[in-house]
Amino acid sequence: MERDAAVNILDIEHLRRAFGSLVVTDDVNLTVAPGERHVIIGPNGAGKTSLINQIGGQLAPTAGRIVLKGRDIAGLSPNRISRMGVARTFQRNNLFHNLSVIENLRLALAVKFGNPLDCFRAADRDVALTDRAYRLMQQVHLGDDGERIARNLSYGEQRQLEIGIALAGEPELLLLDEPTSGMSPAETARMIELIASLPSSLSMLMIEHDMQVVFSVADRITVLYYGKVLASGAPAEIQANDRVREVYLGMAH
Amino acid sequence: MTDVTEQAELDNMPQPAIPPSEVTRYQPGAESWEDMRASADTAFGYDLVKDELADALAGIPFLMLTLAFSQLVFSVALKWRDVTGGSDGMALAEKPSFFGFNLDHSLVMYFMTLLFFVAAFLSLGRLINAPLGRVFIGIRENEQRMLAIGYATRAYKLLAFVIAGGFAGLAGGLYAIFNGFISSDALYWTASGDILIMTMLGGAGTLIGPPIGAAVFLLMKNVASSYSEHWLTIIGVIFIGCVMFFPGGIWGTLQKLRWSATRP
Repeated sequence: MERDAAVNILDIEHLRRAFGSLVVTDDVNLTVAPGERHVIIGPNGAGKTSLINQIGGQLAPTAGRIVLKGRDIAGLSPNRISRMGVARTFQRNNLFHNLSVIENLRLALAVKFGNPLDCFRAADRDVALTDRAYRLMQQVHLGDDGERIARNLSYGEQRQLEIGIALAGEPELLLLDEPTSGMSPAETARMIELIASLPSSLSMLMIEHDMQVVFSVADRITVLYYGKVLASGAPAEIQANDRVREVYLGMAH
Repeated sequence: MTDVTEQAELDNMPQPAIPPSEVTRYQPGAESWEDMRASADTAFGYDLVKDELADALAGIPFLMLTLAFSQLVFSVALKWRDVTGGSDGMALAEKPSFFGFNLDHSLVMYFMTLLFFVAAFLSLGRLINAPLGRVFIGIRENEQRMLAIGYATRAYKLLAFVIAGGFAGLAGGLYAIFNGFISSDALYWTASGDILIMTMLGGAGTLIGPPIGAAVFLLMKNVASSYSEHWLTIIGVIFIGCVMFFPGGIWGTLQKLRWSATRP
């Protein structure tokens, strides 16, 4: 156990979250190895987003441990967890909708690479930060027009910007909550490509519904069912697992 | 004019932080520049304490608590006659001079206030374009996301509130000099209400909106009160109409019109 904690970037141990008598996370154990792309699947209401929210700090667990690089982060505030190297996207687009693309990215970068307490110099005069923002914009395939307002982007582009904001702090662990939800097939293909292009050292924990996406990116799959881990393993094992087929894959097809 | 100055600081604040009585903060009996500086300093300190208290809350509860706190200070000021003169207030024995100019001349008073207004306006303009101001805007736009990015939004909100309070204190000092008199009435919650109305009327979330709102509000007040003693009702109806049909206020509506005019 001690050894695992040192090796894995994330170790979730006996995590539990209850809302009154409703248990949304029930004794969940889960690990993410460095560089692993770990996908969580499960029917609606399985507690997938609640799990991500507990790792990101948006929701405090009732019991259990969330060990990040050997440190228990369960119940810490989102901003502290973020600065410890965990970034996330949200299921519904969660951008600064009235700001330009480049301002969205600059805000995300400034907390680590800028001077957010500077109250005198114009923000866009920070050339290094602006350059960085443009590089990030290209990394998430948003072209090079940074002046577009976030709310005017297409849905798929907004999802890409979500990922750009999450990548800004150079996280070690990226939590993606349904990155392709609501996307057209073409947009989904672009998103798979984008995710594949991210550095292989970046560990990912990702919720996904689209089985094509799941099997094209996952190193490991964990199936959640009513808050419990039903199965966890390599994609081939999950595909062959009878219980999973019964409760989940069978339902989807 | 002083109302205009008071206004200028409002919109830098993150959304829920509707300021408590802006006018409330001056030291009754500001008799010299020292006192006016003290007024701004006290406002900073006052906001610091209050915000720690109110910080756990947001939105409407925060607003109510802020008003309640202001009323508390009002009551203290009303009863503590030795210091504040209670409801009689305190008069300025002699107006201070401004770089050798006599502030008894209304023109001098006007231009001095204008000078402070322009200085405050420019520095706030500078602030919102600086990284710190961008953080404030980010929190107003989407606090949850700011947290997820790693900003300690509570600390930034506190900072915004303190900055706003400092400018309000400056305005309060000017107001006391302008009137030559100050009483605990200025601490009453309706003073906050006036400023809130001015902000909503002119356009919250912009720098120029609140000064416009303040000008319109004072104009309405003067015009309406010369026709009817129920002028507050008239202003109230106009305000409700404004909130319902022009949520962006005067400036926000103008901008929207201009924006749609330039688009095919």
